[in-house]
Amino acid sequence: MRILTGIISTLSCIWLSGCGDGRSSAETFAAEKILLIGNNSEPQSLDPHKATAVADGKIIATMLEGLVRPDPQNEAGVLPGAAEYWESSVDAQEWTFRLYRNGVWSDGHPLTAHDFIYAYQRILHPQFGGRYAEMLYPIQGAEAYNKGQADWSRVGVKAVDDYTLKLTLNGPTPHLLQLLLHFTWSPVPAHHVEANGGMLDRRSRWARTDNWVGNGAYVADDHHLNNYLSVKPNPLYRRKDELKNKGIRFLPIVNGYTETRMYLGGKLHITNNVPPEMISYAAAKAPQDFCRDPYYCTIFYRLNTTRGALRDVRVREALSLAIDRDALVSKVVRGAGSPTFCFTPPGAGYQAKAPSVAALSQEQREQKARALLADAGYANGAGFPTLVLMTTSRDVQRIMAETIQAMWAEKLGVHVEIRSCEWTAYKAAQQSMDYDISSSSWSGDYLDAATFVELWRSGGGNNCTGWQNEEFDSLTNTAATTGNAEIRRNSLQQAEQLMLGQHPIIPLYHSERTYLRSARHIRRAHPRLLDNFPLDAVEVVP
Amino acid sequence: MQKTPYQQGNSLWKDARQRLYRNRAAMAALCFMVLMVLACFVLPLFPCIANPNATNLDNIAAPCSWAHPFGTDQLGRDLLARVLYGGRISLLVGMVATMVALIIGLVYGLISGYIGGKTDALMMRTVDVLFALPFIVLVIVFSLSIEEPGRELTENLIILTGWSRESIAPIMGLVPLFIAIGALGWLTLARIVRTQTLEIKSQEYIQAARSLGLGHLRILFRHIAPNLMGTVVVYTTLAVPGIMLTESTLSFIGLGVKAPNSSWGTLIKEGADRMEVTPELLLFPALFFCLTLLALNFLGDGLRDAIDPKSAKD
Repeated sequence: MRILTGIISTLSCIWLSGCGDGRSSAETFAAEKILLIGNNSEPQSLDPHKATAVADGKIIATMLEGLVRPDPQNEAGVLPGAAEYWESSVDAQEWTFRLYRNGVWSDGHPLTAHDFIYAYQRILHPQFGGRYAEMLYPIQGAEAYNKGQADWSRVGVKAVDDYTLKLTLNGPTPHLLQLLLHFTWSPVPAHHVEANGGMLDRRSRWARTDNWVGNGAYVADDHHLNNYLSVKPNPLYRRKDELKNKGIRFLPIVNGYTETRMYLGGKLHITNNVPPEMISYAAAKAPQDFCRDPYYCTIFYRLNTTRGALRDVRVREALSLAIDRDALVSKVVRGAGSPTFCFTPPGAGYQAKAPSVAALSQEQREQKARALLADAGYANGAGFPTLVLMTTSRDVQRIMAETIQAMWAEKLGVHVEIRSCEWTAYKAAQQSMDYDISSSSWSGDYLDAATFVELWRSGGGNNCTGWQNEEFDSLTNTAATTGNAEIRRNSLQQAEQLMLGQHPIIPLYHSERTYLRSARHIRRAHPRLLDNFPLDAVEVVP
Repeated sequence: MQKTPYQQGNSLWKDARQRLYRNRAAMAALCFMVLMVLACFVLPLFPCIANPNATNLDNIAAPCSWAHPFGTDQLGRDLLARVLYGGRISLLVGMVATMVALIIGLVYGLISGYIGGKTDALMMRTVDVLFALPFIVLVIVFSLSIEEPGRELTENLIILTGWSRESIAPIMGLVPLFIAIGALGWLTLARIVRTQTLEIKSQEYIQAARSLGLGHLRILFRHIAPNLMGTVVVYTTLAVPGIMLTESTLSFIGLGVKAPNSSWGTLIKEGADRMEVTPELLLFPALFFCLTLLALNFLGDGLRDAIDPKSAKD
């Protein structure tokens, strides 16, 4: 009898809570003009100098405005951001930005060129340890300063007056405006950072949601851990009248299955990702809403080149060759990508040179892999240590890891152990190089091949493989300083070829973005190669 | 001289056994458990069961067929084999971790109850403190901290004994889990054992044993412990499902068994993600898991009614 009562009361609870006014939260929030967006993971940090994840960048982009802002209509173009207008020298090496004179931070403090200088010094400061500092290396003297070899006064960032910022670059950089769209180039409120522990305090609380000061379209509103982070319009924002929405809620949903299910249950307006196995289901359930966009992104495995057997380049190449990428992409990823042996995705006027093994058949590659492994002293995997393959807890990555684990065991006799970590633990382990093999992805920060190739420079903050090569560094330096587009492209191609030949990474495929976006509630959202569509331009309609 | 009619008296255990035999639900549960253990531990030895970790990318998420009675999973692995091998791990965790908890709890409770006084107070306050800490969190921290020594142990075992890695790695990988769950799951049992010990300690036969000059250890393990067995058996049977649930919780959040091996917990998680697309992947492991939990609960209830009939009237 008690059981029956229990069942009845549970059912009635579900029925009561499910009823409400009969509207889904997507509808309710659309009526309130609040955008609900799935955002992959809980942000590591909202401090643009500490964040490295795409999910963090999406939030920061709504709350901080750089010198320029993205053009919603045209991915290659930019619109005035904090800077009203700008001019460059003929060789695109010196740039002068004129800031809006009425620009203010959300606490009313005026926004000046000194805030930009303060921000650039902070991320580049050798004692701050900014992971993304190399995004600013195009600035003259920035790399030397970041490595502690030069003084700040030698770095090419100057304030001509309070509202004029002058950047002197290493070489001609016609794509600078694209770079500036990235959150690492945002200003930070110098007065506020100083009041919260100073420039070098990595634990500063200035960027917490309850203590936020920014210059973007939105300001931080509320943060419920593992529930949502919300932003609301910045009342002092210059273009506040153009904002269509009353706020955005970012929901950290790691599990793509859960996210897709939430969307179909009317709890989201835009999702981050539909897992491969759900593609046909989602496309059938919501044909109007299912989106499949090209994406400037590569899925690959990092190899820790400083550890045990992986120090041997033959072992690394053997591991790479034994993976049947075609089967992986067609069966596991369900065609949402294209298999590759290169790192940089084709596009933005660049095509990486594929290594010769790309032309072989998979059987030939496997033969070669076995020969290489035997050559390295591990014939048929005998005596090969158990390596740890680290993945995030994302399901696609786990299935992929299990597939590759089985391929290596079958073709090479090599056994790896899969360790799936929660996102922050995964990031921490990767950055301290506490792994053997790490399932990774890299999406471009700007539309240029350099965003991929330069990742592998010696000691780069996101290199994390321990691989370094002087010739590679000098080739990328040439590319960064030459004014000639042809030489630049060739240098980058050579550098990438050199890196691929040494196998610090195993490229797997260039992925596509599969996600859901409500055709009914969302207006003015266009696909972008970089997945950086400005959310302040999106409109939610009931 | 005529012998008076003489009837052999029943021992308490025999009474209990008869009461258990008469309990249909408990007997059905017992049979089910025997079959389940045989299926999980003996059936996979026959070649008709496929290799649970052999992927086949050309046969992904296939429906039920003669070759694959439960179909295949998202990587083309035979689901029946995975459910059986998963059952091995789940049952093994349930049994081994319960044994660890049983041994610790029994000895701890016996000592605490038998010595009494300040020692008892101190030991029981320690249990109170451990009770106050969140169990799952402690298990996670503990199993992570002994993961590295566990891995070294595996490597040494492989070198010392020459066993193949595939045969022992799945089991050795679980050792931290066994220890962690066992080392933290003994608290309730220790309390129960202590209370019972306090009660038995004051019985006449213990006083007699003491006055005959028997040593403490002999009294503890020869005279007190056997009289606790009824309670302990019942509690243990009822604890196994709880521990299997803990294992599946840990596997659910990625801390239990390591891929590609599976337990029922991981299979259910993988199935739950894909329930709209391939419901079989959720249905079969969940069915096996639920039935096992139910059977163990029925068996535990039956044992309690049989051994301690007074408690059944509550």
